[in-house]
Amino acid sequence: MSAFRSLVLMALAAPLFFACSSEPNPPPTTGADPAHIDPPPAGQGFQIETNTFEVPAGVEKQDCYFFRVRDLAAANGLDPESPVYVNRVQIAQKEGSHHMNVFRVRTITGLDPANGAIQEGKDNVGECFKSSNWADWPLVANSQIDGQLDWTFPEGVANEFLPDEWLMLQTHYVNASTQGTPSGEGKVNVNFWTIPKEKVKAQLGTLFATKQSIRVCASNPTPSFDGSCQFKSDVPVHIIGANGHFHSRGKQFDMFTWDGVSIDQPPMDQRFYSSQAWDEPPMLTSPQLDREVPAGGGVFYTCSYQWQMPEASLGCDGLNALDKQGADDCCYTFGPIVEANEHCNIFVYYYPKSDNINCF
Amino acid sequence: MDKRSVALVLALAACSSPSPPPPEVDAGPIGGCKLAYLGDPSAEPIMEVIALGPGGEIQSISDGSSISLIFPPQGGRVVFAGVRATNVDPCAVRVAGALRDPATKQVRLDTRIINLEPTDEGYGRSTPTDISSFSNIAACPNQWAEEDLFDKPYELTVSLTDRDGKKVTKVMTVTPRCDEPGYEAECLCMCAGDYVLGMQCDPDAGSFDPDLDAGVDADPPDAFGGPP
Repeated sequence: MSAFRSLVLMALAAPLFFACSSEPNPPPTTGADPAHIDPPPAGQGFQIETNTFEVPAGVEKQDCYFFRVRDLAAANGLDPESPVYVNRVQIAQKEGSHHMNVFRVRTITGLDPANGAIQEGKDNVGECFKSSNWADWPLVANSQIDGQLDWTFPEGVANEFLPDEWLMLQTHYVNASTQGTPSGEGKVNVNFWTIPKEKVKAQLGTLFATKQSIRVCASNPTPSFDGSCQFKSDVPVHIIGANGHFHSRGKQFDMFTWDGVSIDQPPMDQRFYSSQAWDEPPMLTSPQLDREVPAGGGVFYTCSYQWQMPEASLGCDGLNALDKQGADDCCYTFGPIVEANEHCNIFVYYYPKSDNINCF
Repeated sequence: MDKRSVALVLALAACSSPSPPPPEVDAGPIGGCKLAYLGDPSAEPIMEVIALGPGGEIQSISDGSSISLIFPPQGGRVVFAGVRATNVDPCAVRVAGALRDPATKQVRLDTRIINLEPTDEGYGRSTPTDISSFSNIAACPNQWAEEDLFDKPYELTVSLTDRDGKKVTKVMTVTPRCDEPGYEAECLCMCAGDYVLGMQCDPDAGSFDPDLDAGVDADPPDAFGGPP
């Protein structure tokens, strides 16, 4: 590279460097432990964390941790009687995380914080594995196999947490053949950085949609499933975060901005998310992602699969034994177990918030 | 049909051995659709719209029909809109269903690729015991329609496209109903026009005002849930 060209690039890059270095929050402190991040200083947010827990070989671990916003605020120098406004999320985890979701607790069915601040599940057994338990719990934050995230929302955009709200952190670690946990241990830290209320210009909303009535079978080896979900907003909104989740039979995951009234798949120039790698799904966030959706619009998404012969240790007999339909067709059905089940989930973050949206 | 029979509780028996390379899908004794053509390949496709009723039974749907809002395994309420068809290739049929609010034109849709189950006289259909063979139109919780999603007319569109490109579409007016025994009150709550996500829908008593600030009444013993 010529010296002149280098100078030009440095000149072009300088504003970006100074823009980043002028951010009020320091970067996360990372060391040998990928799960370590320093919590926000007092009065600037709070951290939620899991225990360090074992994930033995052959095990899928899914645990649910409960936190009350009032207590988190009080513990870190924030007013426990006032809402907090989160403008930045940092996630750090030990390697082996399959997913991590934070939800707001709403209707209580089988998963109740009154039953304990930590509720563990293993190999699809336990209330923390039953998605109907959080069917109307709005999404707050999530990550997938790449368990690291540091995302500052656009200036003035914040997620409001009320003092008496409960948050549920759900961590899913896998130590099996399709995905491993090298250290045999799981650990999650999440930082929520806050801004003062007077600096909030717009609230962040979330949209979570899932298709659970899905089957990927030997006799129908290339199925796809399309769905839609509106923001129910009277004004245009901006999509500033998105990721999709499926398992190893998944081949193509797309999301499109959508007008809310069309039945057909939107044109390709409206596609804002595409993933062909189930184990490395893009985690799109602003400023790289900023797509406007018209008033009344939403998201159109599609999941496409290619059936595969199951792991030898499971086999078609194993899949058939798990298939409640008794179809004897070597089908992967919806569920959390990576080796035996499939998913089709979208996680979308947007502003200004009309509501938190769940479609399933 | 026992809808709870397709509940999410699965158990993984074993795990972890090196993954063999996937076989060619149609190469071995397993894999691929081997169903015979339905009806006359040279004739125009014929399609009837069917749906799962409140007891899980198949119902024929036509203009003016009621259609049930069913409690699916994942929660919420779904319209299960399927097809019965002939003169089509039954393998990898694309079934698209959409429910439209006639006032706002907003629509909820679900499209999926299925195999039609052969029945009689050259017909095939969505399999009554397999909800994945129906378009699962996620109607409730109602965060999209202006009015109640029950006892009011909505526009239902169902289309079928086989892998040869043969396509047939039907559009009709239907009236969704919260008529699944034992689940009516919760349905009436979460399908109401004024539903807000997180509203407590008491299965026994219908709806009441949400308390979104609280969400939970009881205090767990350890609010932080972190390591001791």
